[in-house]
Amino acid sequence: MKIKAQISMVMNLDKCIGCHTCSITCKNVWTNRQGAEYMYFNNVETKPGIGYPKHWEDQAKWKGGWELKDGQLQLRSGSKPERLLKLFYHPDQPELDDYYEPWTYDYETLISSKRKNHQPIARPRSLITQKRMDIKWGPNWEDDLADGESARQDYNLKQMASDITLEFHDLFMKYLPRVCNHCLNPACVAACPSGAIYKRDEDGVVLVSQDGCRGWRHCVPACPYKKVYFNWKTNKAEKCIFCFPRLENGLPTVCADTCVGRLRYMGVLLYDMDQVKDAASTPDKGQIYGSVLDILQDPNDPAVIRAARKAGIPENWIKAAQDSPVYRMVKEWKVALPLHAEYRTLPMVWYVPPLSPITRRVEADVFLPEVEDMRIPLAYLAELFSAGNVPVITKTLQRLLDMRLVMRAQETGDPLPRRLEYDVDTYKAMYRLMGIAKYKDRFNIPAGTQEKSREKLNQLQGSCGYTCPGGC
Amino acid sequence: MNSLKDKSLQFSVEDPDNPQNFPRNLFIWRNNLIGSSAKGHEYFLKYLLGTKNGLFAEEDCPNRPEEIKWREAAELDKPDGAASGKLDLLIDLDFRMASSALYADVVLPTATWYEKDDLSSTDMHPFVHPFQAAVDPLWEARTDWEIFKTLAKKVSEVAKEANLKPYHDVVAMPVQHDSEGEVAQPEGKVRDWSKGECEPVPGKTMPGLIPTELDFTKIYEKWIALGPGVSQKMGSLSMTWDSQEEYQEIAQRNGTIQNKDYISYGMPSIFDAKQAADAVMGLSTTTNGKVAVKAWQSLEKETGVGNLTRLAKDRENERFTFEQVAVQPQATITSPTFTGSNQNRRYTPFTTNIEELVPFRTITGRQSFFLDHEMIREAGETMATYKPILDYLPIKNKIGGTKEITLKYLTPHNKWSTHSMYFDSQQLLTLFRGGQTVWFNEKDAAEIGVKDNDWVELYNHNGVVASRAVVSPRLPRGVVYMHHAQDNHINVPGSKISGTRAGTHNTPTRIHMKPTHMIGGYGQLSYGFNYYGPTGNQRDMYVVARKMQEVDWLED
Ligand code: SF4
Ligand code: SF4
Repeated sequence: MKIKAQISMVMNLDKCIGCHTCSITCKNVWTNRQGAEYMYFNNVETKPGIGYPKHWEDQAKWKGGWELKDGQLQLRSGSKPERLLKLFYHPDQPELDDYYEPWTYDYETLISSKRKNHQPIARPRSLITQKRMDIKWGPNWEDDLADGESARQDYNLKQMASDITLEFHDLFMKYLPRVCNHCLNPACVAACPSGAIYKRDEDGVVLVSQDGCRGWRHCVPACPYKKVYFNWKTNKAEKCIFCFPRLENGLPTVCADTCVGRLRYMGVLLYDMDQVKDAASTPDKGQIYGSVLDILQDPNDPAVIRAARKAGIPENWIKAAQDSPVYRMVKEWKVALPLHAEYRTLPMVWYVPPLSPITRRVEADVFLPEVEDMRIPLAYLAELFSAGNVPVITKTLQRLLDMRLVMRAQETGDPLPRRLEYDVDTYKAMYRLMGIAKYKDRFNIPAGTQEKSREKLNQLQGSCGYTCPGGC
Repeated sequence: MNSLKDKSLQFSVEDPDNPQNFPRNLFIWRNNLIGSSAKGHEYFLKYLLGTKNGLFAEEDCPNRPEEIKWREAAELDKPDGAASGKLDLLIDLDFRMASSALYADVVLPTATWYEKDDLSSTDMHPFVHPFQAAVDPLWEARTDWEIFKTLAKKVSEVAKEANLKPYHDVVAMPVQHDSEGEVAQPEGKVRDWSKGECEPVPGKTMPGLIPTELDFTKIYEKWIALGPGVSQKMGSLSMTWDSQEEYQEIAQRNGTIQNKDYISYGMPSIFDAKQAADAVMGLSTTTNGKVAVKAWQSLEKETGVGNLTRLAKDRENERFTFEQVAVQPQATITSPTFTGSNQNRRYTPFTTNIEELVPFRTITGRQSFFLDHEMIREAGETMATYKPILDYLPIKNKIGGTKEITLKYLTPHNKWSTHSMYFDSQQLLTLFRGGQTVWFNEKDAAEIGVKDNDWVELYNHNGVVASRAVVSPRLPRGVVYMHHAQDNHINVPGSKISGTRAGTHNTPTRIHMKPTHMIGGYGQLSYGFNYYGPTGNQRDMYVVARKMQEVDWLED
């Protein structure tokens, strides 16, 4: 057993209102600069929809993630020699049109316009070419099912082979906020010819070294979530950094901190590194989720604690793992699922799938829907969150419904209609964490292992603060 | 009174197109009138501003009003007539170069929310929030408080130079809710003094007539001080209480005006915004426990309902200050000005009416579902009633020449802006379609050959909108959504139909007055600012939609 610590996030989709506050605050902090205009480390999609970049879920097109070849885990983009051949020409690269062409407006005309025949106007201008442009697509073009035709091209809908027409009568939608998943088995890391992408030892954050990156761009298609971007100005790859400077100080990411729905949770997970490869190689894609749960270790188990200490994990991290909201939701209650587990990267951002209103077929006096009667088809959610395994998603949603049943019974005094999976106290604890948790309950992030940087900081003492030791 | 009776003296509202009655100056503050709130956008452009517009409606009216003077089109179109711009001066305070600023004569750049100190509250939730300056206003910008103070000072200076004498006027005020006037129409019968059905009695059978004095030379002196109006007694709704103690406390806290020549000498200073905020919180029933208790006592006396004071008694010692709300927004004190209770619970309306039996402020003192005023009866609305959308042609002659469809026009609130605030933000525009949008049902769009992101025009007799189409299965057939307050200074082309810049979401609209909103002197049906009175109802609109034939940006 080789214990590692991972900072992980849960998003409770039941509460996402699609406000995009997360996208805006992230953009303001990290990608509001030339070369990075089109990047959204955090974006929010309306599902069904083709997303950002277009059709990112279609791995036949992008060759992202991993696949099993003769039982062996291999990048979908090919074996090492195959990939070497693509070093100078990589055919599966997304282009600017797959994202969108970023623009601004001639705001200046509004202020400096001379006397004119008609009201002055600020027209769009490309941030890439600086030329006038027509806006044809954007990072959130499909908001709230804005474009029915593109919504119908949703990859998951096609996999379902159902008779959903997305007409007024059978419409459904949900929001899907997405960041880099800081995977346990990151395809981006494996694909980089320069070894410039790495998974940080202390907290599992996946980073691109801006010094090491040579601009090969193999990470871009390799990430099945399309969460590595290419900066056209610096010619280097960039990606969500999980706001690591904040994590190191015990603060959650900006997107999580500013989330209006308060639906993001962050905490520590302990996992056994020795089992990662096996979990990712689980033959049946519908069982990968179960395998991942198995490698997440119980932070209260003395053997695990011993192993963690042996692996050099600091006490405050072990403590945080024992009081991790993420562990609770992911492993104890099993209400949070990975997005597209079939990509086999073992994502460490988890989603509580959304409940949805009853369909029109169901009697109006039903106070809580049955799992099957909800507007969002189970098969659709299964495509997203359980690699097509419908029983998994059904069970997960049932737990969320049961929590509501219990809480309702607390108010009304009605008897519970059937035997439930967990005991009442568990549902109450679920309610506390998912319904009314305060900031401190939602985020439990141990301050970083700063021994090394402390030393450097000590050297800075007494200096004017403008230079770093060793020069920068 | 006699001159009013024999009509030798008239209300200006009876002759709105008389140049003497034009509004001449307009300040736009914390608002974006042109381009956002102006229901009937093109009418505003034409009649208020006298600028290029896309209005098709003609000066024509099959039923001419009897009591309002009708002036013919020829007269209105004269250079100084009502149709070519009533306003002389439009002043806009804003930090965005939005439509109002584009059309203003003077733009005063103001501080943003993070560059000034202010309070924010509403009766929708029980908290008082501060705005605090994180940074100073940039460039030439000043806070609203400083802008108005500077203006007050300048106006006073000029008035002194010009040796202006105090100006006396009479202001007509509608019969108010929560005043004695609200029982002016027994049994809900309207008697019209102007037709001799009764005697004109101000505040009873007609609006109250209030004499005012405006001394322009003293505006500044008054502006910087908390005046004598609240130094003895204060009130709210129909309650009154003694306010001497609070007035003194504010004087102590803020200091007083020191200039002996000022009329405000010795009065509490509200020279800067924080002082003003502290004065407000020292006087309000929701932020000063002592005042709340006094107000409850007044309500006890007024209603005969006992034991109400306890609702605020537990917080009698609290007095909010700006510094305090800056540390943390404070939950307000339960006040009889509202009907909720905040005592260890969430505010909901009408709690004290139900639990404490404080009479509702209605004609019956109870919740009224049945309304018997004669105008309500005439409208057939004595009980809550469904009324279908008005059925009429959106325009006399359709333009034709291409496929067109007539749709109901709805303007719900936008996801990407708060009214028009931040609509023009590059980041928010990037997160959707980059400009104005109109949502269509897929089948309606198909009928006129419109695909997602095509340019479309919507028109009716009120004007033309040019916008990108959003073609979605989410709308039912027969309606279009054009989200509220999408300003038209971003990415909006010209329209061949109107021959000028196409309009805003309020271009196809105009106001329909609803007569029942003008009832006064009958309990809850009496005028209350922002509560009851004629609203700017612009619903029940149809538009003709078509694919735009040619996109011309009209940048000349
Ligand atoms: S989601 Fe993040 S860690 Fe996972 S493969 Fe993509 S870029 Fe790498
Ligand atoms: S801020 Fe939170 S609620 Fe808003 S879109 Fe992002 S995840 Fe959803």
